[in-house]
Amino acid sequence: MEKLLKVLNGLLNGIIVIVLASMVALVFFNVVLRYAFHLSITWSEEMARYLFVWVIFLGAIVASKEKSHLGVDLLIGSVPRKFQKILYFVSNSLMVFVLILFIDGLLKMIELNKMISGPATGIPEAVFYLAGVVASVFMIAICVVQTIRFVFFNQDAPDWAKPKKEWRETK
Amino acid sequence: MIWVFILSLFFFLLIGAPVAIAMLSSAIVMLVALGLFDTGILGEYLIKGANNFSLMAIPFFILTGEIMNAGGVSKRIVDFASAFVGHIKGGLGYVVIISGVIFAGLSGSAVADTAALGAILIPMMMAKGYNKNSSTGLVAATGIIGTIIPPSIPMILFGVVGGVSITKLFMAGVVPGLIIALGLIVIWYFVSKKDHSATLPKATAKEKWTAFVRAFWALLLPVIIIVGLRGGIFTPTEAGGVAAVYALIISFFYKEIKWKQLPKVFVEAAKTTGVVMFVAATAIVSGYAITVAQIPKELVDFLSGLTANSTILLFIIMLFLLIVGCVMDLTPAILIFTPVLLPVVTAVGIDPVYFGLLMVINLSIGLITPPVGTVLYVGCGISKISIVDITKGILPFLLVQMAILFLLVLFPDLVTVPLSWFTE
Repeated sequence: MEKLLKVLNGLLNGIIVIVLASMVALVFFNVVLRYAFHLSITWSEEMARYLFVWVIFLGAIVASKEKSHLGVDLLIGSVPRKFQKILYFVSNSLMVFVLILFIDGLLKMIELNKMISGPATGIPEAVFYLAGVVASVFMIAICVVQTIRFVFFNQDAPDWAKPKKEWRETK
Repeated sequence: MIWVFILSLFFFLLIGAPVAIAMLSSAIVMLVALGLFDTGILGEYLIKGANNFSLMAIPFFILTGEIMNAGGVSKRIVDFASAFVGHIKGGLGYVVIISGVIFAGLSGSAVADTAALGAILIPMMMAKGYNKNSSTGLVAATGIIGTIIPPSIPMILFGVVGGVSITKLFMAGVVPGLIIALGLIVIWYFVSKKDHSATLPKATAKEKWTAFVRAFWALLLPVIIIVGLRGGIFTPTEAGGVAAVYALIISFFYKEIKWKQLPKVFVEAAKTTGVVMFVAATAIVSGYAITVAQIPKELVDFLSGLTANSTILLFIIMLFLLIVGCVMDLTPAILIFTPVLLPVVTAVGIDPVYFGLLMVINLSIGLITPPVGTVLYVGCGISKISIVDITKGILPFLLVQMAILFLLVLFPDLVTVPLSWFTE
């Protein structure tokens, strides 16, 4: 299990590096080609957008893993531990519920757009929606594991559940 | 409907749901109340929000900042500023401000700028006997210039959500950003008078020249960005791509970065992008819900009954946003309130670029107002001081920044006249 997680993590990071680097390269070389050679690659912008959507959702998985998604911890950070656990359970259940709705919507869009491809690259539009599906599935899994670990086993505490001083230093 | 939106959003935020999930949930609540809900809307608009060429500038500028910091470029800029003003009484404070302005021209994030400035300069200031609270306060207050001087991530978000030219927003930020820096210099002069701090030895002309040469390629980047955008040579997104490649090239040229470091730099940039853009994409969904629920119209009717004077209206909105800034982070606040407020101000004839700039300055100030101030926490983390101490230290700088904000409200020419130099 440990090993599998490590491989998955390495894979995630590797894909991110390749996707982000290609995105930068596409946009940069388009500028260079335009001014140096009066050329422009027509598929460059579209391709970059496909990569961008994937960077966003893969980055969102990394952020879930490291609990760095933006949130307001004003209330949850200041109530007793018992209520913290209840709030954490409720808000994470909400997250799972919303992500399931999102997956359902994405699958509808994939079905609806299955014949449509990007005009310049020929890549199916479904590839955009697939990024959301992949991210949601992983985020649901991460969220469930984090919730169980904190609520039932007191492990893996979020930043606001740590003593105030330590919390500030990790920020 | 406006109450459904506000109450549901704050309820979800308060129970501790991530901002993105809270925004989606309140959009779902509104759409269900309107009888228009369909999961397809979620799927379609979330992806539509992410699939946007203009927003691609965000990961590029985040990456540029990460590379600059990993590659020791930030240190060269600080050394450059130290050579020129380090020997003056309170000199390191001026070094903070000058380096902060240059950092602001390289990166678009206040948090990243504060972290970079603080990591280098706060230990130096402590060693020279500066007051810990006011030094940390100055670093945090300078850090927020990062989002006012271009490039700027919140301006990109405002431009995309509000349909306003990002290039114009960028150009509008240059002069107000410098005015704020000037305000900080004046306040620091009085604050640092009380300190018994040591100064750096005065640099010789030759040392100044060396420091300049060492920092030259880094100093050139803000110039390339501004000139390139003004001349229409590239779009903001392309400027970001050029900046990232440029930063990478000079870091290798300076031999301050190794291939081994790059994967971490890229993954960090992707993570920050994921955080910002996930919220941005959900904001497109809630923006859709806000529009079909006709919330801006409701607000326009309410406010126009209150006042017809555009300056007073702007004043009220600015006070409201300062309060928002105390409890909410910059990114979500821009994304939540742009679709609500922009139609209100354009209805009374306020220029959207001018309003966007004021909104970004206002909510950037929100980053240094307690209890929720991300930049404030970054400062605390570096100096190991409490939120109360840093608040004491930052107060004079915070007040001058607020004063400048209201000055810009009273005298729009301070923004519009320089903007016309940059954009004719």
